[in-house]
Amino acid sequence: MTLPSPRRWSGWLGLALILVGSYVGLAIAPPDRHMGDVVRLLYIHVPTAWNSLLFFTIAGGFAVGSLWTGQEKWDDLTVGTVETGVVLTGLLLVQGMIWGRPTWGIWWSWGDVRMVSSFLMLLLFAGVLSLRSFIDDPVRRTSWTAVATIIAWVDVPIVYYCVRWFRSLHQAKSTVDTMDPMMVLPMRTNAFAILFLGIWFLTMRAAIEARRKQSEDIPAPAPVGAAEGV
Amino acid sequence: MAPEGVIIDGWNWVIAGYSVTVVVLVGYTLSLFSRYRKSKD
Repeated sequence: MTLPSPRRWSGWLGLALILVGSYVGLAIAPPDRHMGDVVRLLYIHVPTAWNSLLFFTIAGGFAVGSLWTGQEKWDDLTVGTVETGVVLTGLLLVQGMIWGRPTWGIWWSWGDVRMVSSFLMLLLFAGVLSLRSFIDDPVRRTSWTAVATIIAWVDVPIVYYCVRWFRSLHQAKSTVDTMDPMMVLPMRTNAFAILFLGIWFLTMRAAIEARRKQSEDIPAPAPVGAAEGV
Repeated sequence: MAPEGVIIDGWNWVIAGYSVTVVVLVGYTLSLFSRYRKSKD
């Protein structure tokens, strides 16, 4: 028995979960004692941040697989995962700015290590996609993409651990013990929602990359005269 | 007293954040559908 491709079901599952998670987060969860209703932004911002780190880490694994095996499917998956991570990171930075303005009184701080390292992560992985677009040779494109992805991944643990290493605006990690269960529920539901939506994004993007390569492999049609032996 | 333009305490920021999220996720989905269709042709 073979399981259906994630491209068939993960998008629908992600959509259903994000509708449930957003309903609980917006309509049922209580406002925070200090932040008021603005806390509801965290039910989408934090899951987006978790998943961006997760997808970049998975991309690092795919990149190692690509270098190790040289098979095209690993390269397709690397591209799909990096692009998904870039979209999620761009989104989380905008969500964070919208949350930071009413809460901290600022849109952005170059003194906050997590903001700056997250922005750097966006630039590094966007750079991987940009670098790839400049290389015509398929073999070099695959190996350079994999190496660049692994180098960019070095920033991922920095983003995760920086709140423990430096004191800045972002607080150290909260735990579920300090949160109302009705606040934990939308956070976790949306985390799985974005995970499944991300799986759909990466499999779609990988499929597009595979098709693009197939079209590259098709030789250009011969001139009309050559076919007729002229 | 909430400043003029504020819907309810904090809700305008919540609406802005969720709206951006919907726009980005739907926009990227449409972009993937469009690129997939073009790659098929």
